[in-house]
Amino acid sequence: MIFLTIEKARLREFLDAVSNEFRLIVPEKKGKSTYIFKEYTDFSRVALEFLRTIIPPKRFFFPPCETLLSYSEREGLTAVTEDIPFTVIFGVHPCDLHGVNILDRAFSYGGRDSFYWSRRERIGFIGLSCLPDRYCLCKSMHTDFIEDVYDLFLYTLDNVYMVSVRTAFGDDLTRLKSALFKSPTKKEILEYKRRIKERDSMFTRIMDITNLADLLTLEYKSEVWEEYSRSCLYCGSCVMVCPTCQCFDVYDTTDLTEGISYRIRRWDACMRKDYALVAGGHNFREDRPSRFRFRYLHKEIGFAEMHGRPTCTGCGRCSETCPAGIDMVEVVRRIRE
Amino acid sequence: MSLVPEMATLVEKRYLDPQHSLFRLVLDDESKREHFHFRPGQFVMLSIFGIGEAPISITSAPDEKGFLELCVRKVGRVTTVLHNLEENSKVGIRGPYGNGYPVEHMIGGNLLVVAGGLGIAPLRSLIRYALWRRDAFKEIGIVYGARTPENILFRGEMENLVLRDDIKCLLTVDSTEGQPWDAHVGRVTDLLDRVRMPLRDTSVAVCGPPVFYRFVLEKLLSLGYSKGSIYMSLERRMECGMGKCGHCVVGHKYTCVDGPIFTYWDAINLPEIF
Repeated sequence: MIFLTIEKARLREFLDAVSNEFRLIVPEKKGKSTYIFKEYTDFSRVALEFLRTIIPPKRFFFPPCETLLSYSEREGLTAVTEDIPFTVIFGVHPCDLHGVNILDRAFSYGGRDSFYWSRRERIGFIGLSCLPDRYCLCKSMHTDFIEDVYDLFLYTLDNVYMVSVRTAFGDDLTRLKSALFKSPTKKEILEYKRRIKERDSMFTRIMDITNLADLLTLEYKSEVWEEYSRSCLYCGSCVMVCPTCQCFDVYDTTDLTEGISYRIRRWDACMRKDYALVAGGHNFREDRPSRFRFRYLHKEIGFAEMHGRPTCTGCGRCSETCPAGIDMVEVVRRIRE
Repeated sequence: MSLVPEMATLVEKRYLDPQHSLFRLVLDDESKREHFHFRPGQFVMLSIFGIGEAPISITSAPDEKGFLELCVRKVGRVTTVLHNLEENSKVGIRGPYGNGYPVEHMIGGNLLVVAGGLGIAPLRSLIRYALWRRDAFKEIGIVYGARTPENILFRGEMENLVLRDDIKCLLTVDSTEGQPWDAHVGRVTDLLDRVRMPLRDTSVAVCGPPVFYRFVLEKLLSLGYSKGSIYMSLERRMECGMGKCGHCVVGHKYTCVDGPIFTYWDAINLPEIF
C-alpha cells in the first residue's frame, strides 16, 4: 500500500479530474442535517463534513428497483443489460465500505448474481474518514477502520488529506493529476497518529456484542420481542436505509399493448407480513414479534454463521431513521440484561 | 447460476388428482438438456412469463435423461396458470437448486422413505433413484399416506411398488370416503410400526405437510432412529433460489442453498424451524 498526501485546497482539482474521466458520485447536503449521494456537479456542493447519507451507496449497484428480464412471444426471453458508465463514489465512510464488502459476499454466496456484479464491477470507491456522532456504533462492530474494498481512502488532517492507495485503480486515479500528490512528511504521519487516537476516544455509544449469537438464541422466547413488536410500525425504514439489507422481491408485470412482460426485482423488507407466506396460505412468520425478532437474528447470527461476522456495520442509520424511536443498541442491551 | 431462466417446453401434462398434475418439461436448448444434472431432492425455479416464478421440486429421477417431471399442486398464481397451460406451451426453468439428498452417503445402507400427500413429489425422485440401482442399497422401505384413495398421487406406480418383493412399500389413507381401497386406513405412523426397517444404517427421508412432520418425527424418535439419519425437506417462500433474496431463511440457513434437505438434527438447531 502506498501513502500520499494532497492539500485540502486542491481536492477540487482532483475531483474535477476524476469527473472528467468517470461518472463521479459525491455526498451532498439535502435537508437541514441530511445528506445524499449524488452526481458531481460542482465542488462547492460536495459535503466533506457529513456523517451518514440517508441511503447508503448500495443503491448504485443494487438499485431499489430493476428490470431483470423481458419476454415476448416474438422476441423470446432477453436478459436486460444496462450500459453502466464506470462510476467512482467519493466520500464513503469505513462503515459503508464494510457494508459493500458484506453485500459483495452475500451476492456471491450460492452463485454470483450477475445483475449485481455487472454494476458492482464498474464502481470504484474513494473513502473518507469521519468523526463519530451519537448514533455511530462502528467501534463496537469493529468497522471503524477499513482495509479492503476501497481504491483510495482520504484521512482528514489539518491541511492535507493522507491518502491510502490500495488498488491499481486507485493509483490510476492519483495519476490523473499526479502533481497534486506528495509523499507524507514526518509531521503529517505524527498528525495522522494523533488524529486516529483522538477519533478513537470520541465514541460515546458502545454495544457489547460478545456472545451475542448465544444470547439471542437463549432469549429466543424473550418478552422483549413482544414488547418491541408493539411499538414497531413494520414500515421497513430500517431495512431501506441499511447498508447490508439485501432482501428482494421478484415479480412479473405485463405491458398489454406491447405484449411484453418484464421481470422486476425490488428491495423487500423482512418485517412485511407476507414476507414468509407460501402458496396455500401458510405463513412461517405470521405474528409480529417473530418478524421483529427475525431481523435481529439474521443480522447478528444468520450472516455470522456463514461469513464469520454480523452484518451490522454500526452506521447508525436504523436508529436515526426509525419513526417509532426503536434503537438497536437498546434492544440488544435489553437482551443482555 | 443466474436469475435468467432457460426456455423449456411443456411436452406432457398428466392428471393425477383434482389438485395435482404431473408436468413433463424439455429444455429447448439441446446441449443444456444433455448437461442438466441434478440430485434427488433438488428443485427448479419455474417461470411463467408475465405471471412469475415458483420453486418446484423435481419428481423425476436423475437417471431419466432429456426431460424433467414436476408434480405440482394448483395452489398459487404460477401453479394455477401452469395447470391451465396447453401442451407445447413455453415456460422458463432455472436450476437445479438446493443441496438434494446426500445419496452418495445413503448408498450402501438401508433406505426408509416416509411421504405424506404432496410430500411424495421430491421423494419419488429419490425412490426412482434407489430402484434404478436397487443393488446399491440394502433394505428399502416406503410408506406413503394420503387423505383419501383418490389423493394417492402416482397411484398406479405406488401400487406396483407394493407388489414388488425386493422392497417393502405400504400405503395408507386417512379415510376411504366410500372409494374402493383394500390397503390400510389410518395414519402413516401406524405403517412405521409395520414396515419394520432396521434402526442401524438406515437413512430416513421424510416429506409432508407441517403437521405430518410433527407426528412422524416423534414416532421415528420413539422407534429409536438417530436425529442425524432423518432427512427432512423444507418448504419456504423463495424469490431467487440462490441464497440472496432472503425469503427462505430459517434461522441462519438459506433453505434454497443450504437445504431444502436438512437432517432433523440440523433442523432442530435452527431457530424458528417449527
